[in-house]
Amino acid sequence: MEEEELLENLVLELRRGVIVLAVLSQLQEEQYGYFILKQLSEKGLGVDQGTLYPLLRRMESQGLLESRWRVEADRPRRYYVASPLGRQILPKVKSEWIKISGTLDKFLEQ
Amino acid sequence: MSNKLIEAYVASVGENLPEKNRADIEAEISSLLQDSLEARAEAENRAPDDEMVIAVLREYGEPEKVAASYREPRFLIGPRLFPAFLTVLKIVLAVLGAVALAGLVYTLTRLGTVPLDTILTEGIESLAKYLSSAVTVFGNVVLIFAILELVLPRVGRREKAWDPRSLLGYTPADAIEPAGLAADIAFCAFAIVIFNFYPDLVGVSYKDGSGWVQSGTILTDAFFNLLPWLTMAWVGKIAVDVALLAKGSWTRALRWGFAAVQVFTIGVLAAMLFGAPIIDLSSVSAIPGMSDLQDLPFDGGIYFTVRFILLIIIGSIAWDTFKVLKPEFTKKPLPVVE
Repeated sequence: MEEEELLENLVLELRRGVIVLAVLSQLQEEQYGYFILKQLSEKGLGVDQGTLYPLLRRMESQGLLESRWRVEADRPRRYYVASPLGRQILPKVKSEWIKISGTLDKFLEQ
Repeated sequence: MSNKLIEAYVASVGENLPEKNRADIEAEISSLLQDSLEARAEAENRAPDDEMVIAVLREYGEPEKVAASYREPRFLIGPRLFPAFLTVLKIVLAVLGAVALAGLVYTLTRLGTVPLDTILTEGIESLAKYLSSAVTVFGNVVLIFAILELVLPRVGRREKAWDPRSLLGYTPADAIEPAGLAADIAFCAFAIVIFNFYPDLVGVSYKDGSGWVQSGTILTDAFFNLLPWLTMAWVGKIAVDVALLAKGSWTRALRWGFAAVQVFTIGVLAAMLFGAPIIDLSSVSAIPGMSDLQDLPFDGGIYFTVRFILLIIIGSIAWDTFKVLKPEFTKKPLPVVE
């Protein structure tokens, strides 16, 4: 049980580390919170909603995202999209990730 | 029930959110819950019902936890100030303990040979008084540091790169000690509060038939005439300390600002040193059974002792000022490692 809990926490930490990059990569077009959650989950990066939604707001306050309310079929939804700063930073973070991932692959092959 | 439950949930989250973003976050959570509910209904191929709402809310999590995830971590006293808080608390409680112990010894000396149970009773009463005072002091120190915790991030303190040579005692000429400055601010704030608002605490407590009685302040009019100037000096010291924490290192302006405050403080203390006595024990010697106080060696030298302490404080302030100003006059200042 303890081992399972430990593993769960380690995986959670790993996901937290990459979620900003994942979100930024998926928000080249406007999307609303629940859709982003579903999209990440479908692509294999399941994230807790309690982590994702506050993160979207934090990324907005950091200037990486922009948001606006839109009403569709009487349903108001907040839509997020990568800001010019977010778009500018994405390739740099992506390149860092590729380096880290490549290095780790080498470590793990040993 | 479904809508009411969602409304109650969103309101409950909102109660724990900062007012600034509350309405916006509430609206967003409400919208996200509706999305989750719709998706669940679609997956289960039936209309949303109470059971489904409960499942969605349970999955979303406890309102307090959800609200906490939207807030920045907040501390009453954060990890940055906690070491300084502990230092100040230890010093203040040690001084309080020493005063309580001295009072107990003095009381027992005056009582002469007494039975063990009297000694025990006096000891327990002194301990109870000490604990009561310690709780008050603890509260005040916590309050001061909580205010510092609130205010210091707003002045945008910058930290210099840590120099490993500091482990061997080397201090860069412009280095500051954040913990020491925080402790300094706390002491000045504490002094301002005590001397301006609770001067009666600077007195002697004694026991009569009805219990413990406070003698009233032993500070004189001469002290209170100089108190506004002393308060200005403390406020000036706090201002310089806050500016130092904001800047993160000594600058020429801050060195001279510090020196100006120190010289001003020395001036006020010198006025106390050479002026009329700043304490008067007549209120204590008027206490029944304490009239022999003037005859005690303790009291005989009390005025001299106060002046001696003032002299030591002035010397210490002058030395600190010299150390801070020294780099301004040194041809080759110590190298600063960025």
